[in-house]
Formats: sequence, C-alpha cells, structure tokens
Amino acid sequence: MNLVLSYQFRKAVQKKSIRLAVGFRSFELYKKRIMNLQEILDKLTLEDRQIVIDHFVHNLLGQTRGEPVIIRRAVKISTLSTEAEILKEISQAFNIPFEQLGNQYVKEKLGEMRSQFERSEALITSYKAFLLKNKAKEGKYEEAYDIGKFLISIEGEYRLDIPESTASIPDFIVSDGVKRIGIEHTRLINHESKMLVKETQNILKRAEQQLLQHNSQL
Amino acid sequence: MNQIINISINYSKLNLNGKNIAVERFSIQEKGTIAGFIGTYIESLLTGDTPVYKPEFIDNISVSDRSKHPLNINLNEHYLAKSDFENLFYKTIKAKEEKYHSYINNTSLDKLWLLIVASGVSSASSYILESITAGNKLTSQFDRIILFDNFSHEYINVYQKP
Repeated sequence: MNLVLSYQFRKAVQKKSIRLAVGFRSFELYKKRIMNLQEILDKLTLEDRQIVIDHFVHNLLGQTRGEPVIIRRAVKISTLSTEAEILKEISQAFNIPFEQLGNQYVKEKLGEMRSQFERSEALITSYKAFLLKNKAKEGKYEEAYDIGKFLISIEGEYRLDIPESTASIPDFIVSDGVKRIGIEHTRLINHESKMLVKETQNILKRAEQQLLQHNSQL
Repeated sequence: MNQIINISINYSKLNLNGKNIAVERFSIQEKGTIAGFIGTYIESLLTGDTPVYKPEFIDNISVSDRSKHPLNINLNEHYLAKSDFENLFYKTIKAKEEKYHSYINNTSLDKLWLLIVASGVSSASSYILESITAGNKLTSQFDRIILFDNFSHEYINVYQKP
C-alpha cells in the first residue's frame, strides 16, 4: 500500500515546525492566485513562509486573527522504503530541506496507519464481498471505506449490517447490539476542483501508459 | 525498476492550442499531446539519455524507486484548505433533509444519522472542520449529523438531537 502524506502549514498554531499527517485513502483548482502563492512559498525559508501566509490571510483573504488557515500538500510515498529513505522522499516531494524535517515519527505513524487500515478493513470485509457479488459501482466501495474509517473513529463498537440490495436506503445500517442505526452518507465536494484534478490525472495515466509501451525497461 | 513519480502541476501554465486546462476541456488528442510532453520528460529523467527541458507547467517532480507497480505517475496536490464552506455545507444538509422520509420508511431503525465526509487530502474536498462549529444553530430531522475527515479520522458532531 502506498502512503498519502499531507503536509500542513497551520497558521493558527504559529509554530515554525512542519506537521506531516499520514493517512490512507481508497484510491480513489485551485485559483491562479493560490498556485502563484505556492510558487512563492516554495522559495522561502519556513520563517519567511509564515510572514507571507500572515500577509495573505489577513490582507487578501480578509480573515481575522485566530481563524485557522491550513495549506496542504499531498504526495504518494512508498511504504517499501526505509525510514531514512521515506524522509528523503518527503524532502524531495515537498521541497523541504532534509535537515528541516526533523523527527517525523514515520515508523509510529506507519504503525498507526496500518492498524487503522486493518481495523477498518475487518469491519467492511463482508460488506465489500456483498458489493462484489452484486457488481456494485466504484462509488459504493468508496462509501464503504468511509464508513469503515468512521466506525473505528467513534466511541462504541458497531457492526455493519449487510443490506438486501446495493440500492437500499439509507446507505448503511449499523448496530451496537442494542440499537439499529441508519447512516446516510454524503460528501462535501467542490465539483469544479474535482473535474480539474480528474482531467489532469487522466493525462498522467496516459503518460504512464505511453511511457511503458515506449520503453519496456522502465 | 519500479517507480513512483510525484508531479506538481501549475494549472495556470497548462495550455495547448489557446486553451487552458482550468478553463476549457482538452480533446482526447490534446490530452495525448500533453501526455507525450510529460512522458518524454520523465523518460529523459529516468534514463539519463537525451536531455529534455522540463515543461513549463511542471512545478516540481520527484522520483522514488520503491513502488510495487512498474510505473506510477501521481499528481501532487497543494492547496489552501477552505474555511468558507458554509454554503456548500448547508446545501448538502438541506438536500438530505428533503429526502429524510424516504430514509426512514420501511426500516426498523432506532436512530438515523447523517454522515458528511470531507477529505483532508484532496483540493476538491479539503475543508477546515472547525470553522463550521462556531455559531452553528442547526436543527434537523436526523438524530445526529456528523462531519468526518476521512484522512485524519477527525470528526465533529454538528448536530445531536436533545
């Protein structure tokens, strides 16, 4: 499994350190001014980045002090690498000098991520088999991954019921041994951004296929 | 050797035939042409053969040789997580409230929850969860409405029936 790392620059925290969040996702723009800001940020030291972010937030976005502002980056990192190699990859992918990364507790985060993944998978395994048997669309699997992650994150122990059909509503029924709870699933999505990312991913997939056809030694 | 290539794209510079990807859709042929530019550059980078200039629309590129797959070209995303998502948030809830009775029909449920998922790892659905809770005076037919970030596993109870 590949990791997806998210690099967050939290203005509200006012720290000069970098927080790397690690997570997994089931494989599933920004406006020009944002992209230009990113280009500028890349060329600055961490301290100077904070000054530019402060200026951007308060003078251009008009947000008040104390409101959280998070700049995120996401890249894919292989879990087959050693901890030192992972840090090197992070340094290259996020354009952050290696020595500024510090200890990112990669091993601990990986362990936590694997544990979450296994617990989530255990909850939805039967449901996924049901989806497979009923030739469900990809979107239903994405919903299943979400519900698995959600159920391991909340208090209490829940079991996911297998519905009669993939079109059953609400989307999920869970029970804790006493109560049956229906859960309707929905997502917050900016469709404009989603289309742009999808188009670009489509182009990269083509580049990947063309490259493999052209050079089998890669 | 198996590789993961992480690429950051500057969308404002991704132009072809007078079109920009953020404004107009590219044709299949145009996508193929851009894929060719990217492929040629990556090939020169990996093989060290004929040097090719980095296309202007590629901001940053990094290579890892520890992939399980022969080649995996991945799009990096970098963006500002959105804090101004109240409109989208309430619109999403309203749409579900209107269908409430269809969810509750023909079931023997004790409770009905609405799970709203945001993702901290995509520009399309990266929101700051905390910004919704301040001053929230939501009422709902659902017993509980939860806002969940499926990347960080953080969640917020935005509504719970008394």
